[in-house]
Amino acid sequence: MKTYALFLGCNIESRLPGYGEDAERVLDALGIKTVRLRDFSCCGYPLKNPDAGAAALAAARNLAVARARGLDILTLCSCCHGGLTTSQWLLQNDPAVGEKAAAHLAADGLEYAPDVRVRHFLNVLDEEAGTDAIQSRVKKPRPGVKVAVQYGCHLLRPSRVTRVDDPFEPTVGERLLAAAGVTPVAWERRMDCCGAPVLFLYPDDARRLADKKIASAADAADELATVCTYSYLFFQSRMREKDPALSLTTPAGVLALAMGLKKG
Amino acid sequence: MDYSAYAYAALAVFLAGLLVRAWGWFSSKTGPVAGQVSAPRRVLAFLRGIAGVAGSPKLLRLFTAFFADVVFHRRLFAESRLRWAAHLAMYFGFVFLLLFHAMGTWFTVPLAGVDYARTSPWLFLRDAAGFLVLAGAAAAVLRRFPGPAEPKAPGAAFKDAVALCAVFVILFSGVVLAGAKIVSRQAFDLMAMDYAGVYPGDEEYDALLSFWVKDFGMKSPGVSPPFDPDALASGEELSAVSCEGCHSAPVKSGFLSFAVSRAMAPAAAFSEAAKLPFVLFWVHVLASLAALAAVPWTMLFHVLAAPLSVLANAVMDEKSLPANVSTRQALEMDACLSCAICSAHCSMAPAAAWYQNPNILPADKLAALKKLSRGKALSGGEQARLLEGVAVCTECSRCTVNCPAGINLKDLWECFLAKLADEAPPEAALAGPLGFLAVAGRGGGKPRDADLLSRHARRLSSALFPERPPVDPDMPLEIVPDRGFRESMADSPLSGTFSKCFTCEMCTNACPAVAEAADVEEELGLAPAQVIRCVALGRSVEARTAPMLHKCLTCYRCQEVCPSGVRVTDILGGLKNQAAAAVRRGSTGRAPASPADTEAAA
Repeated sequence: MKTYALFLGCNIESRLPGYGEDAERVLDALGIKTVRLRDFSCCGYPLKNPDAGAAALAAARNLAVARARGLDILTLCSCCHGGLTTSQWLLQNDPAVGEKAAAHLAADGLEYAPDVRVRHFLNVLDEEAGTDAIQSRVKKPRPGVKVAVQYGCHLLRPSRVTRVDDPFEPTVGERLLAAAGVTPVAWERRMDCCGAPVLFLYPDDARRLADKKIASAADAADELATVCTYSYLFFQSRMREKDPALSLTTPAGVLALAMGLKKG
Repeated sequence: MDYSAYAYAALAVFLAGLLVRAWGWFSSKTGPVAGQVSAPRRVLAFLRGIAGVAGSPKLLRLFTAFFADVVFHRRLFAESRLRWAAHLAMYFGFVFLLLFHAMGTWFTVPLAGVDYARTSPWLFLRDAAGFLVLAGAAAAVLRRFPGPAEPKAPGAAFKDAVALCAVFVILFSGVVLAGAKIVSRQAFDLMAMDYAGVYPGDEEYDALLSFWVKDFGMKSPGVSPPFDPDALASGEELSAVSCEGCHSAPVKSGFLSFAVSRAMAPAAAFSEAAKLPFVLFWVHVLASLAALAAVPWTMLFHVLAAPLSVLANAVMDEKSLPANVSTRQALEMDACLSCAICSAHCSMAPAAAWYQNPNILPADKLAALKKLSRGKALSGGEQARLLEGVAVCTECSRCTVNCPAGINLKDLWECFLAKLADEAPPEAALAGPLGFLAVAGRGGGKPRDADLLSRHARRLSSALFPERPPVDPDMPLEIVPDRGFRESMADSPLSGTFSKCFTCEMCTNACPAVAEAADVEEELGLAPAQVIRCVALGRSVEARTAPMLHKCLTCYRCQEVCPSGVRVTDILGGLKNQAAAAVRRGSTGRAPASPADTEAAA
């Protein structure tokens, strides 16, 4: 099994540390090694709106840091995955952006490496461990628990760049959670955007979208397992106000619980 | 040589400085209570806070923080062993010298008697502490050459150089003074007359001198081995009776000063003639007192403020009184020692490089905010650069987690983000995920901050979407020659795909923002397909100022469904970048610049 550089990203590092720890334990139990690199910086996603060039430089820096250690990157947060892969596409396809980023990296003594692979947690589990291996390690199946999976737009689309699953009918999350002994469910607003990106300028629109998603998940499921950290934070703040009969978790959290790896 | 008047004067300046600093903390105009709570009330709040800690489990946290972070410097240890070793050598050496050498009358005399300075083991310990300080300072200097590519705080190089110079002046004058006294015939004469009652010319004087030249490192012209054994024996006897009550340590145990004295021995006569012991004594005393007086007024103040910051942060949490948070934040600004370890860990360092805005880096940001909080008036442009510095931050907390002074930098950024959002021109970087984090990333946020941020959002909206020209339904369908706008869009691999559009409007039909809108033209200005159409027609004003750009959820549905391969979301993104660059230049009101200008400005 190969070793990956685990890309936690700012949200997991500071706001959702449990997400990262759960994922690390699950990967470790399935024989997939990860290391945390201190030199990783922001993935660049939050910079795309003001300046795609700045975002590309941030992504290029992370790719270079992974290259310096000879590792591929494993992402958890959907927006980190989308941010890194879309910027990687830009670096590879827009020579002007690539050259500028390479010059900045050279000034920091880093090698420009736009070809480092960026893979997502779900795909690595699915392809390198497999659902059978997960199933065989489940210690606490909870078949009665219905789980709604929230992927996050930037994980799935643009699909030819993020390369995770079908852009509108993904199944990888549900397959992994079914192997973990819970019951994944279909839910009406599964593929909707959570609204987080427009919260600052259009708070009412953003909150309406989030509330609709939460209500839809609560109708269908007991738990909402969110891959995307922005969705997670937004749902968390909305659920604090609305308090629906729904608990918020992540696919890594569901897997860790099923495999008896949850702390405390 | 009586220097007590100078010592009291230095102490007075020192104490006055402490009062000024403390007053600054309690009367600061920043933080959560920003000028709303009077200084005396804040002192009361502080005392309540202290009382809350005493006798609570927080006391344990205080002790842990004191030993791990103040004494051991845990965070510096994690950062760099070399920096840690250099800093701890200076720190322990200096504290020892301060307590048992400078303030020896109070601390060492009760332990070892009046003449501790020349007795065992104090002579050795004094030189060992001096050696530690010098070694640490030398490592600190050498570490700065050839200068590894680590971030530096503004002005830190100068301040560090002055502080290191002060350390070297104090230490060198002290060590050389001790060395000069060892070889000083004048010093010997005075002591011999006072304590042994022998005078130059006496036989006993000569005996004592020869014994001291042999065993105590004395230098005297014409007095050198071989010595008469009888004279040595009588000198030794006299020395034992008259001198060694105080000079009990072998002079060699003061290894630094003894080594210096050997080096000076050939020039002992010159040293005497130049009154070196006298000159060095005053240099040493006055430099030390000047440093003491300077502590509260210079960066040296971190030696007091940084431990206070560590301890305050160890016991404070989100339940702490807002008045105390304001006071702590003012203290934290004094606690920063400009080490720039925060900047070395900053997640947004690439953005700082790209935008060429050092305010994005924590160390620079703190320095700028410090000036702002001390009432420095900033121009609109400076405010905008500073707000950009605070806004382009994901609040990943790395600066806070790694700060050796324990400063809660993340809290500072949050407070100043709200303050600057209220005062500075609109900041385009907030229109998106960074704005989301500012509003929802901190688990609720403070209501007052939320108000200030939503006011800023409204100003930003009007900067991004100025009055749009009314759409002329009969406008001719022709390409507008708009300063190369269309051509520059065509050049990019992302936005160049607009030319593949055959207006099927699949993108518009897939768009959740369109689906949510009651009136598309009113709320969005243009639907996605119309934005692409505007680009194709070279209509940059319409394309860049459509609210659609920022109502876009970036869900990439449009791009995914396009049967023709138009990168719709990315084209909207490119236009957003241009609109942001225009706001950044504060020029949305004037004729739109070409993307080439935008590129140059970015």
